[in-house]
Amino acid sequence: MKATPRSRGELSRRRLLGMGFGLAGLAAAGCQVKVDDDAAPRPAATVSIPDPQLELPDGDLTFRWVDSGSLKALFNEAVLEAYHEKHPNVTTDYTGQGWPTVNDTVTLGIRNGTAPDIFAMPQSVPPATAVEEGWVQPIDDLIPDFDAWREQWPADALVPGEHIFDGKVYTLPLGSSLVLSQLLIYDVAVLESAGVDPERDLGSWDQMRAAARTVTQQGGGDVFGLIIPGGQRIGRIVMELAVSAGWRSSETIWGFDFSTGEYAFDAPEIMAALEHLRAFEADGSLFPGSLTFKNDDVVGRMPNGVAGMTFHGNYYVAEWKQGSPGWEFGFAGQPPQEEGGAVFEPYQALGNNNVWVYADTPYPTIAADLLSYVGSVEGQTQLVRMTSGLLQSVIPEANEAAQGFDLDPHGVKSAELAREQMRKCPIPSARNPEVSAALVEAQTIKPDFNELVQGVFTGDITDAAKAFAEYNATLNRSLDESIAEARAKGADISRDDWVFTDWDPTQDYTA
Amino acid sequence: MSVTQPRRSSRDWSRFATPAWCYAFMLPALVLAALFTFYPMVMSWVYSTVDWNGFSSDIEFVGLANYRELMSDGLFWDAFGRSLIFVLVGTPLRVIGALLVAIVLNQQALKLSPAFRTMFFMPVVTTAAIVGIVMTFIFGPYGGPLNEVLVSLDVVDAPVDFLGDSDTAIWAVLLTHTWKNFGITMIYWLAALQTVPQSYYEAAKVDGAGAFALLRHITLPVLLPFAVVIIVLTANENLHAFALVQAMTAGGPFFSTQVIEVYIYQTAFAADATGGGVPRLGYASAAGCFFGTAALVLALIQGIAVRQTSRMRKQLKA
Repeated sequence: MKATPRSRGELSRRRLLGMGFGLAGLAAAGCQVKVDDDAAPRPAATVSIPDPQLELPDGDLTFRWVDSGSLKALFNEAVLEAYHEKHPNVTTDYTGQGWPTVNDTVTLGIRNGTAPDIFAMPQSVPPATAVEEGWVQPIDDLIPDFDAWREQWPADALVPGEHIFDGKVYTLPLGSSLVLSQLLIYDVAVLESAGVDPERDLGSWDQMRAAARTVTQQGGGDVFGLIIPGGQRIGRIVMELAVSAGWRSSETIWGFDFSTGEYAFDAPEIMAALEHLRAFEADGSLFPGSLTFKNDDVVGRMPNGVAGMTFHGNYYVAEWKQGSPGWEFGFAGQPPQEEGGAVFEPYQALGNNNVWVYADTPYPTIAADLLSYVGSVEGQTQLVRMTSGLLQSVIPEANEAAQGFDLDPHGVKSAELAREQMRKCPIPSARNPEVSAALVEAQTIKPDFNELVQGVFTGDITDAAKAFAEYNATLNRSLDESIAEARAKGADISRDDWVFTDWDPTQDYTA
Repeated sequence: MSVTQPRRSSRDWSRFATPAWCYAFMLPALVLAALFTFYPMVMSWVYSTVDWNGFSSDIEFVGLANYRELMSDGLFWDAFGRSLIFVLVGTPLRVIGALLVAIVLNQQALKLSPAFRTMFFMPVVTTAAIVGIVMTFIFGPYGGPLNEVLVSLDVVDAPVDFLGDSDTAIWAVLLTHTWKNFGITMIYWLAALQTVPQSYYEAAKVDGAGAFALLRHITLPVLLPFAVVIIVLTANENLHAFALVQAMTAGGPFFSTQVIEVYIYQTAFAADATGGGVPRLGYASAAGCFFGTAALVLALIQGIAVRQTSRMRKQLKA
């Protein structure tokens, strides 16, 4: 991405917005979605904390909950506020400010013995390590009448090696993983003014590329067809595009083909996806600077009408609705590579947003009381309602109960698209829980895929196929080494534990 | 017969008490230094000999294996090279530029001198993260002021993505780092310029010396001893650009701005989101110790330079 073609001229208002909103987005960077903003559609849902079934501490205390925020913050904040109202002696402190905060505060807190009472696991810490080290405690000993409580959950919702360790339940997912992490999000007005009909003109890769070109041509250097957070997500975008071309991979173990038990970054779909994305750049349809943009750069610019489309999950819908209530945007699933084709996105039904109870929390009964509510059908129903359907529950009854309420059309649409395109894929730990021992041994590989794709775009990598093949070989070798190290420490695992020859990505995997 | 013990005089007491008080007053600083400087330093060396992710109890002693791996780690050496670029290019740029500005601002006749000094010093006290993020907009290819100027002056045909191009990103970051810290080097020079006796200038002017002659035969020789110290201080400072780089590019695109500090941070704390994997605190510590040793060498040079400086000053006075 050396230079970007653009017509010369005065600094237009749109250009100024496109540039300057980044500064506003800067302020918004890492901020959480607030439910008390007047501009926001106030959710009609309310949290009603039931009477405790445990004896709670009666002195004044502060209970801390730290996770990555985003959409779930809408629910978690409301729950903790309601909890404080119900128990005025309990001051609740919720921090939902992105993964970097979780990664820093929780890890340091555990070392210092000051970790939050409930937290999301830092990204760099394998859950098995946290359990082994005794940083977290099982919740089946905490939650009153645990068996009855657990019956509210589908039998396969909690998985050994992911939520269950040594027969004890340690965590519960606050949301379903049946959520598309890459949608095609478009600016309705921009596409309309370019004469692009999202229902008609985004049916394939080529159509989308043509649409982006049209938007760019008509934008006169001020509006571009596609904007992406390349600095943070360009590799992810390529992988998701490859999935829409039939690449066999799930987002839990990116690039891993369960039918062969091998990584597949050298697959032709990956190269096709890369070339497709590069085509936008070659056409001049890619918003200038996209290669280095972070999520917030894109989230801040989209409502200003400077780009027609972007790829992202539905995570920023509430932020857009609060910050730019007048902005009209739409969702579509990723277009298939060929017109008329179907997109199937494999996912592991492990749930999302797992929460853990700190082993040394001074207030285990409060943690149990809170989790007892958020993990109930009623609590999960409120989660779906408060996030306007943008988050779905692992409990089907909760999703059904939330229907017919004030769900946001975007939430309904994203849930529909997820059901339409996503298919369950195998979960190795469900067959052999000991496979998590290999994750503990996994080494970080540099450059990672995101960096490799960046290198292709900057021109530092001239032979992408070779670079991806080498990366793939390194990943396969690394997995073998991790398995060998885990076996040396006593884990009964082999590469075969990752092989599911009967896996068909177009169907839910049920074995 | 009464025996009288020789009485300790107040002078004797003070001879004993003064050093004790000195040590007592030094103790807090010593404790703080031990806790926050010496202990982390020692532990870094200890960690550099283990294979450890930084959070589990699974710590394996590997001796010098981390250092051996470091020697063949291309990413490490590339990062080290970029830090050297910061030193070798950034230092002369800042030292010479700041000297010229300081000479101008040191003129008594320049009434607005204090205002300009403040202006140059302002970026020094501004948070690096804020400067970094604002500069991403200044360099931006879409409506970025720099590109607007370059395009309107026909210097370039189309806006350049300075931070998105691996050939230009490091220079953009280096330029920003130089601009941000320019003021501190200027202050060093201004302090040095205050030591030039006015009488030298007056006497030279009486002898008919012009502005260039004053600079060449009076100002520069007097400043020379200071120059060595200022160069070393600036070079050392150029090795520490973490906050600015992290805010502007986080080491990208494709490692093109990954200086050694960013490399250490990313190795020690950031896991790979694609392939999984855990951080490598032990390995990052080895990189840190290696880098620290390089900085130590600079500090030693500084010590030698200071010694040479005082020697030169004595010669000058003689």
